[in-house]
Amino acid sequence: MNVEKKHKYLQMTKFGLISNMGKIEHFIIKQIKEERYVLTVHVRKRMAERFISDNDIIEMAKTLKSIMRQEDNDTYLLKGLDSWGEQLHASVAVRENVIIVTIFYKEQR
Amino acid sequence: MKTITMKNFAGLTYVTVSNIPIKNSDCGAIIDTEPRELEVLVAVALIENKIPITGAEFRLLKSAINLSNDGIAKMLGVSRNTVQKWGKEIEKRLPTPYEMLVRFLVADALGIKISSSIEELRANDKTKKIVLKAA
Repeated sequence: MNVEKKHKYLQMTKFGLISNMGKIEHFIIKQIKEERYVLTVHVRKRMAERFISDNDIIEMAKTLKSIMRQEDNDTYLLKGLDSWGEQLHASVAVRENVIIVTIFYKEQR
Repeated sequence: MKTITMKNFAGLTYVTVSNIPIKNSDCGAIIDTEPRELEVLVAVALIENKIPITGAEFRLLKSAINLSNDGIAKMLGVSRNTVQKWGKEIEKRLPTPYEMLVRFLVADALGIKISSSIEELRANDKTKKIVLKAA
């Protein structure tokens, strides 16, 4: 099965995120922009390897290009740009907090 | 409370942060601090220890004081492209006058008292091992 067909894709347009973005997606973006998220130990280690800062995560949410639900592991994949203009992707889970589970640059996973 | 120690914090090989509080979740261990909290802790140590500022340190300092590239460019009177270049060249040290200005800017933003004399603003030539306690 085409993986992309299985997932709900939300693309950024010049008018903002397209209309089928749900409450959870809005919630995730808002929480990250307002610096209400937590990092896993794994993510903090990946950030060190790639010199990614908290600023980069927040910038990614501010410049969001797409957000996609990944049903297989109940997370959301966010794609945006870091502070330096590089395409940064993050996998995010929603529990009692918004948890950044994985972070990687495009084609670096 | 469970804690861990992280070496190479933010990619800085000489920085170790111990006593970082963690808690368990179904996504793995979570760091139980606010965003930027650890970065601010390390940033203070970088300024107080007069650590030379390369792109790697610059990225962390910028994040700790929550300033955009445009904001830093305006404050230092340089172009946005210059700020981008500083952040992208991970191993290259900032030009001395700008390194001094960045130290001053970060110290001011984080409320660290440093002397504004030229000699005091100048960073050391080498890094040194830094071990910090988070909590």
